[in-house]
Amino acid sequence: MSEPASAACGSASGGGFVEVARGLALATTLAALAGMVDAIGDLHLRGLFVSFMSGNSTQLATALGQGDVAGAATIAELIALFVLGAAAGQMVADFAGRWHMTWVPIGVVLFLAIAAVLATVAEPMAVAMGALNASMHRAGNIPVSLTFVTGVLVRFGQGLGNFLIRRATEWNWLAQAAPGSE
Amino acid sequence: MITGATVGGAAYVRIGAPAIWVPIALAGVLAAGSTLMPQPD
Repeated sequence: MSEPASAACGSASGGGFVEVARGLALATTLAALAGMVDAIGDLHLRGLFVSFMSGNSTQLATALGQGDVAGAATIAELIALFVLGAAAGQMVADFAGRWHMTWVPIGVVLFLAIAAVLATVAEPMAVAMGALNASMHRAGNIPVSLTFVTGVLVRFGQGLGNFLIRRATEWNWLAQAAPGSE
Repeated sequence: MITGATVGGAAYVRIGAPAIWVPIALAGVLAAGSTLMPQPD
């Protein structure tokens, strides 16, 4: 949930309202894309995920606890491929520089197309979802995440709590409720 | 994400595995659209 070290890959560089709004709209669309792929993967794999690694981690632990080594190996493979995809996406974003918002989604398209051609196999989908996270890291000064919801809900809850005890007086914590924001 | 998952789930239930082409098309549109937007330095 922490902000990647390379915040330079972030989206809008300033904090202008238009830039932030455009960045959040883009993050929302990217998050919708991740949700779409995750739902298709979930239904196709009958309970496993290609984007929701918290769920896969729990499934992995459950499989191990039940002695289901084959099932655990499948889940571990998905988690490893997601991490590899995240690393690859970050490298592509770094090489692409200011055009990372173009080249990272192109990579996502390629891996998803490979999955589609191979009868919706999970492995390229997990790589694509890992890579998708490198598309953007910030909308203005708001950190965004594209494939996980828990961090969004925690930050929103913390912002609400701070607001209720008057530790925070501004309303910018509401931006955390925007889909895709972290 | 929830909206996307709803759409993706509904598409999969209706057309099966080819539903994966829906997010592929969306990612393609995003990649193409991003070339039209000003890029941050």
